[in-house]
Amino acid sequence: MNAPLIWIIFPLGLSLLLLILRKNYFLSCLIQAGASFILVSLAIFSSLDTVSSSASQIIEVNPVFNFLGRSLVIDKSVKTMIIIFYSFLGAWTSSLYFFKIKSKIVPLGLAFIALLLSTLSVEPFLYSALILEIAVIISVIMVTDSSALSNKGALRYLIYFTIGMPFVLLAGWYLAGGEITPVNEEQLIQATLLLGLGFVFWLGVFPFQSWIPLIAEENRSTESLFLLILMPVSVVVLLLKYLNGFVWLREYLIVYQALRLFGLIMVVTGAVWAFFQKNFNRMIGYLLIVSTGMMLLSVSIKTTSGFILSSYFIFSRLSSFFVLSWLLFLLTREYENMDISSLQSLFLKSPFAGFAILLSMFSISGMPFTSGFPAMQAFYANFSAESTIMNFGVIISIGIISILFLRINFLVLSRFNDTKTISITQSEKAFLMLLILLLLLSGLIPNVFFPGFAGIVNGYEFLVK
Amino acid sequence: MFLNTGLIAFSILATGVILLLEDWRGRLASVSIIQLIGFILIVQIWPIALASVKLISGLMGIALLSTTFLAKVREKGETLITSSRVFRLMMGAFGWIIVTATVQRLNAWLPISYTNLFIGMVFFFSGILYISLRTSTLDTILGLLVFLEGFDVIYSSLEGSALVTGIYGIVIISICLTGSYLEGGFNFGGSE
Repeated sequence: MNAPLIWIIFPLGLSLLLLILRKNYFLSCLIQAGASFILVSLAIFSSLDTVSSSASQIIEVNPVFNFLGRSLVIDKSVKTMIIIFYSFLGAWTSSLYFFKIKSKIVPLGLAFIALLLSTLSVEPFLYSALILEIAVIISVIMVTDSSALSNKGALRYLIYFTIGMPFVLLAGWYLAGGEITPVNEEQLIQATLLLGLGFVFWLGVFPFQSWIPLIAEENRSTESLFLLILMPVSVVVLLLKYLNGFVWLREYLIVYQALRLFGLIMVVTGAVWAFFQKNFNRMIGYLLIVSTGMMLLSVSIKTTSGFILSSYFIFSRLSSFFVLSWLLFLLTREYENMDISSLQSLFLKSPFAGFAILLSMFSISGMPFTSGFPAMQAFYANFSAESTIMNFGVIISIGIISILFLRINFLVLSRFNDTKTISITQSEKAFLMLLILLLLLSGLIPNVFFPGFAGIVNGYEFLVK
Repeated sequence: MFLNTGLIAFSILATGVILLLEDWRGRLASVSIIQLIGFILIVQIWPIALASVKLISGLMGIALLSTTFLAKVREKGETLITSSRVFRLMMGAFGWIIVTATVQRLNAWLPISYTNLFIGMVFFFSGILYISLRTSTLDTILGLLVFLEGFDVIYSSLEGSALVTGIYGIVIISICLTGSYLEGGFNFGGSE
């Protein structure tokens, strides 16, 4: 069997098929969720090379698929991403089915994930920018509604990613030339500058971050947060792939200094902006910027532990924001305008929702016994050795977020005359319970959850030595 | 020599016109002319079959957008006051001056023909300027098309891959398709 055929081409084909079947939406939903989990199982039980396979990996797959002289190569890192992305898609689609929500994630989510994975697996690298652009276009259709009052955020997202693409393509051209003949200092500066510009646009570094809170605010959380959670993750992993692939780039000190600066800017601006938000959706948008900044800062540590830490941050991002997204959906069902003040007395109205929202927020700020704690604590320890001043900046920013969460904590726990309860069914309570358990267990026994995510960077042999 | 000078003059004229025109038909026509200029430049270095892919995909995208707008009854937009037109033209001129001043230095970075680099940069800059001066969905898409055409002219001079051309064509049509979708040209089947 051929790995790219299974995890990239087949999902793309299935997505097209589900587009035809979409009249029977909930059947499509079930098929998509089922297919995602089957793809995850196949990835777990398959081996890319017979020498290093474990006893449970009984299916042998060919990792390379050639097409017009180019190839899609599924390596260890991409395989881990397959497991993560399809698990996330499966969980998200199941939740859509569970809450009976009609969304364009069925079936565009499958195509979107397949394209994100192909950006990570395509050889030569320079094609990744083009494929990412197609993924962006699909996600714009997935997130927007043509009848919506405004789609400014989605348009800005399209603009920034389209502007970023040429820079990365040109950098790819420079660096690909360097594979044949050594790159001189001037060329390296040019390539780094171009690559840096491209990634600044893609990651939403200040001042190009405006699309993130706008999308979170203007579009439905069930689609917008799916996109906002996953897209920066794939861009960061793509960045790691570039670093691993080009020796000049990963040995160039300025690259890491730039990453540190960009990461810090994202963390500081995201935290400060989040603090002053009144709209809950926008606040989540800014928190997502902080989360991306933390991943960049981890990469900038430039040691094995730094790269592994970036993968741990991916786990805490996916788990915390998954919980927050579905809580947001439950709350939006009750309140039309999701202001932070709507959270008043939430704990009294629905203890499950109140507890889950507090837990997910504390997880984002890296409080003990939550999924964010192991990564955040290890980050402080490692980053302080790199730059004490910058580490102080990060601590202050996380402190600002913590104050914001404490403010929300008081709101959630406060007594208010409005005794209106939130209608949450028993099965929804069970769903929330499951999410709370996930966050608590990953904080209490991180060794079970985190090492699997390290597989993202373990495949990059030049980064993780 | 004459052809190249003429192309440079036409590229400046086309980008100037697109900045000033208010009628959507005129703007779409200007973008088509920009695509045509791009094609004439690329066909000088690429086989005609490959260069045609770029022209056809671009024109297909514009046709898609035109169909969307023809089907809609467009309310007449506000007529631009003269000072606004002057401002836009001055911004465009500012861009052309920057390109003229920097293109020699850029040529050391990107070893391609001067004409291609100049026109590519004019489109590149005008695309960004156009996006920043207008806010509607159609204008965003048209701005992106101009911007991408500029990049295409430069990148085609560096890299001659058939697969890149194919994917690039898909990107151009998909962007226009997205524009058409956002303008209500077609329905996905309803999400809510």
